[in-house]
Amino acid sequence: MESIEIKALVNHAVADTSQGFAALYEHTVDRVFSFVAFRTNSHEDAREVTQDVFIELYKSLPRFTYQSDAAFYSFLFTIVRRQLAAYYAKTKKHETAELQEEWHGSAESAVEQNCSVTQALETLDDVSREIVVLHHWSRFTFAEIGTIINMKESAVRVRHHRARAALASILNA
Amino acid sequence: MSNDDLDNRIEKERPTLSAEEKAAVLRVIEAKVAAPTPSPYAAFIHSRTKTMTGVLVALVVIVGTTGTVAASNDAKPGDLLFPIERAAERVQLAFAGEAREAELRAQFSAERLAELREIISEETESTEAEVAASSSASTSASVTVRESGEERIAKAVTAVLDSLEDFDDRDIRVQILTELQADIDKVKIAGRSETTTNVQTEDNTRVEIKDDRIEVRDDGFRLRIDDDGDVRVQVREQDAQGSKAGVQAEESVSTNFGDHDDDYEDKWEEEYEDEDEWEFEDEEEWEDDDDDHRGRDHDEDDSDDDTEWNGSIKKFEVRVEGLKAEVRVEYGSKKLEYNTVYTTKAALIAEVALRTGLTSAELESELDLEID
Repeated sequence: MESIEIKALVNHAVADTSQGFAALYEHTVDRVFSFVAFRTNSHEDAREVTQDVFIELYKSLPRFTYQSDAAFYSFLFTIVRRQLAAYYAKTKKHETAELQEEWHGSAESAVEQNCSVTQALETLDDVSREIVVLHHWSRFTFAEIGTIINMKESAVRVRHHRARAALASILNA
Repeated sequence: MSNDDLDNRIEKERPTLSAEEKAAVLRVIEAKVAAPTPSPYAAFIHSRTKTMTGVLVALVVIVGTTGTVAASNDAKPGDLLFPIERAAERVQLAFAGEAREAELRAQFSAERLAELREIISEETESTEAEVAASSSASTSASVTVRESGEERIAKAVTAVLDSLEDFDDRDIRVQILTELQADIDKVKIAGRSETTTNVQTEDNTRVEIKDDRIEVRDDGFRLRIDDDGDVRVQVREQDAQGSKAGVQAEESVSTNFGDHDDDYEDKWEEEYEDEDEWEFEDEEEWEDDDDDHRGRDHDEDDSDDDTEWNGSIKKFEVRVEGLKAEVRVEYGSKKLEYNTVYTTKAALIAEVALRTGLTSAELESELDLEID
């Protein structure tokens, strides 16, 4: 069901960027923003990075051929990672730890109303954290996450399961 | 904590964009991709220059007139660096405003003229050193240059004329051409007093230096400076094949410095406008020099050779008295009268042809010979 939708959206966007792109944006912007917001210092920064991601996507789409949803998301998140890297370089936050520290102490963060889950996430290792964010916030299936972070689906499931357990214990404490 | 509780808590903290924010972001994206801001450098490169060489020269000019470009400023026509000097000048022109452009063109033309003079003086000095004895006897203001210097001079003359291309300021144009003529007038080629000098330069421009005039022409340009102060310029634009059918614009600029009738100029223009071919009376010489070039567009019907001044000869009378002949020629608005020792028909015609630039054939047809 969704597969057809993404395929149609991508093909439409490739064929007719002016019309099709808006639909593709509507469909994917939340996934991108949720992931980006977790990795940036503020809601504003997240918005800006999201914006840059879609500008990049717009430029790259003509070179993209649809094969599968996962392949498209992998393509999309390659752009996301690149834009995040550019963002880190710009804000001189190369180290995730450093970023988290800053983010943590920052009152600006729009996503810190209730920091407990976010704080709990920080106790996880990078990969587990990414899997949780991609699965819960960006709404990706384990298979899709596997393609995006280049991991076997089963391994993603195992990691996710352990991460959940860890989060539950921290949040209960 | 149950799995559902955990999921809910994670879900509660999911960062999201509001619908308004999403729409705003989309608008920004669409605005940015619709009108991408090109790099200012890219814009500069695309709008201002056509070739990589141009870009490089422009950069050097912008960064400062140093190194090669500065050195090239001293280059004279025929020198290796001369094309760079020209390129640098073109870049300056491309960046100049209208007023500044006219100023620059005048400046460049003056530079070309100065370079011509330098070349003449360089070639002269060496000649005088070589033939000091003979030249010291000369009292005229003319300078004798080495034969080998002829080509350099011709190139320099071409460069002066090139610099006048696209030059709108008629006054300065005329002034430069007058000076050019004055300079060329003084030049005598060593070992050649009465002969015609034909020079073929690289770009098919021919420079012909005679005792009474200098003619420069190429496929689209023809200039003739007479010793009585007439400067005549004709410019033609032709298509890539150089075919006559491709003549798109023809513009004649005639300037009369002397005290000639006004109708002289008109006459000249008429003659040239009606002409299909640009031919000179000594077209044969060109032919010998350069068949390839000539075959292209100058001369498709050789039989036409003698028609150029046809009708322009009003009178050609020769009275032969004993060993002397009195010659009277009227052509165009000019009049030529002189006495000569040549009394044979062929010699007379040859002499008149040389002095007037008329062809032997047309002179012969108009000859009114009287023998006392």
